[in-house]
Amino acid sequence: MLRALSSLFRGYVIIRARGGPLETFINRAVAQGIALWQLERAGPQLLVARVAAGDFLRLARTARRLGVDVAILHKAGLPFLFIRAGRRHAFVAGGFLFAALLYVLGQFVWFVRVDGADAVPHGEILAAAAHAGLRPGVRRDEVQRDVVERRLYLAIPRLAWASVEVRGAVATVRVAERAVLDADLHQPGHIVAARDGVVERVAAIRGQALVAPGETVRAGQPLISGMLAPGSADYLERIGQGQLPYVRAEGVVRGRTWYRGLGEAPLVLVYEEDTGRVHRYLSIKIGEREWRIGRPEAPFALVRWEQRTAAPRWLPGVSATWHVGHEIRRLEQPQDAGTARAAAVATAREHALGQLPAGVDVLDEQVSVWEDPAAGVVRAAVTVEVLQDLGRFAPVGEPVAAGAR
Amino acid sequence: MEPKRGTVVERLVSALDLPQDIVFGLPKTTLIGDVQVLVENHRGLIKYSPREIRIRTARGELVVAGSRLRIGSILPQELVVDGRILQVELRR
Repeated sequence: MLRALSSLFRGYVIIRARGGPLETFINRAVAQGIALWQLERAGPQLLVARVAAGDFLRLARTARRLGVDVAILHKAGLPFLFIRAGRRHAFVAGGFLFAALLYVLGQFVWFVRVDGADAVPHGEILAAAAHAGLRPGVRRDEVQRDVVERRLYLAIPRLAWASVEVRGAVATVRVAERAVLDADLHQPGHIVAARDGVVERVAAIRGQALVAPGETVRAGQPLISGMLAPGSADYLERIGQGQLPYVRAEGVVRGRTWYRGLGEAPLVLVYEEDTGRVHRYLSIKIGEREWRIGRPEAPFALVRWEQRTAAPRWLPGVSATWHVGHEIRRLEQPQDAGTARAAAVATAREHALGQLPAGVDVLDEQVSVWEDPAAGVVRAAVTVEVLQDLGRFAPVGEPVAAGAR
Repeated sequence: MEPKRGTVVERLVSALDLPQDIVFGLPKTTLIGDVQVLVENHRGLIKYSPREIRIRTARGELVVAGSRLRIGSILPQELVVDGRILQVELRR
C-alpha cells in the first residue's frame, strides 16, 4: 500500500526489457539500489517491470552495458499527470474556474422554499421573506434568520410560528398557521359590548378605550374604538393612502353582567296511563289506493295510536299497516308547594346557567319565586351575576349603539 | 562471509540468543499460504520463469516452483514472489 502510494506520488514507468541476460540485468539494478516491482516474465527474452521514474536513467545505463534493450511502455503517477495537464492550459484553467465558480455559487441562496403553509399563499410568505432580505440570489451570510422570522410574524398575522433554515443553496421557511380566518385579522373595527354590564377593567391593546371602570354599558355600545386618533401619524398616513382611518381594535373589557333564567313547575301533576283496552284495524296500500279492514275510529275518549307497517321487498308498492289504539286515562296528583318551588327554581337555574359562556366567574345569584294559582303553576326566576369579557369585535360598518364612531 | 558451523562466533551468537539471519546474513523465508513467498537476505536471481524462480542465498539456492510466478518486488535485501506456490526448496 505504501509502495503504491509512494510510486503514485513520485511517478513510475512501466518498462519492457528485451534480450540479453535478464536475470543479471535485474541483479545489477538491485545492486545499485534500484527497486523493481511487478516483474512479469512475458517470454524467455522479455520482461515487463515497474521502476521509479527517478531511477529509470540509471536502469537504462545498466541495460545498455549488458546489451539489454529497455523501452518505456507507460508513464504513470502524479508528476506525469501534472506534466500532461500543464500542456493543456485551458483544461486546467477550466478546472480551477469550475471549482472557483462552485465555491462562489455555494455562498448564495438560490432557492427559497415554503413548508407548512396551507391557507396562506406561498407567494405571500415568499414576498414577506424577500422583504426581510431572504430571496434567491442573496448571500447566505447576509440572511438574518431572526429578523426574517420576526418580519414574517409582523407581515402575516395568520402565522403562529415561523422558522428559517438555510442549508446549502436552499433556504426553507417553515411555518405554522393560526386557525382563524384571514378576514378576521385584517378587518378594521371596534370592540363593542356583547351585552349590558358594568365595566370592571379595561385593557386596550390596539385602539382607543372609550369606557372606564365603573361605567354601565349597553349591548352594542363601543368599548374600544378602532378609529385612529385624528391628526396622528397613522391617521394621516392612512388618509394619505386613501384608506379609512381604522385599525382592528384589540383589547379586553371585563365587567359584571347578568343572566336570567325562568322556570315553572305545576302544582298538580298530570300523567297518563294505559287502561289495557285496545282497538285495531288494518290498512292495505297498493300504489296510491288504500283499503281499510276494520273501523279507523277507536271507541275511546283518549287514545294513543301505534302503527306497524310491513312492506315486502318482493312486492314493490304494496304495504300493510296495523293500527293499534291504546285507551288511556289521565290522572291528576296534587304536588306540595315546597316540591313545586324547588322544581321551578332548579329549572330556572338550569336555564340561567345554560346561557353562560365559557370562562366566566359566577359572583352572585338571586332567586325569586311566585305562585300563579290561575295557571296552576309555581314560577321562579334565577339571576346569575358573573364577571366576564364584555367585548366582542364589530367590523366597521356594523350598526352599533349610541356613542359609536 | 559464511560462518563455519561450530565456530566460536556461531556458538557465541547462539549462546546470546541473537538472530542469526541478521548476524550472519542467513536467508529468511516466509511462506504465506500458497500465494506468496517472502525471501529476506537474498543475493540475487539465478533464474526467473513463470514456473520456477531460483534465488541465490548465503546457504545455497532457494528454488520456488509453481505456476504463474512473478516477482512482486525486488530490493537489495528483500524479494517477494507471487503466484501459485507449489514447492520451496533449499539446494546446497
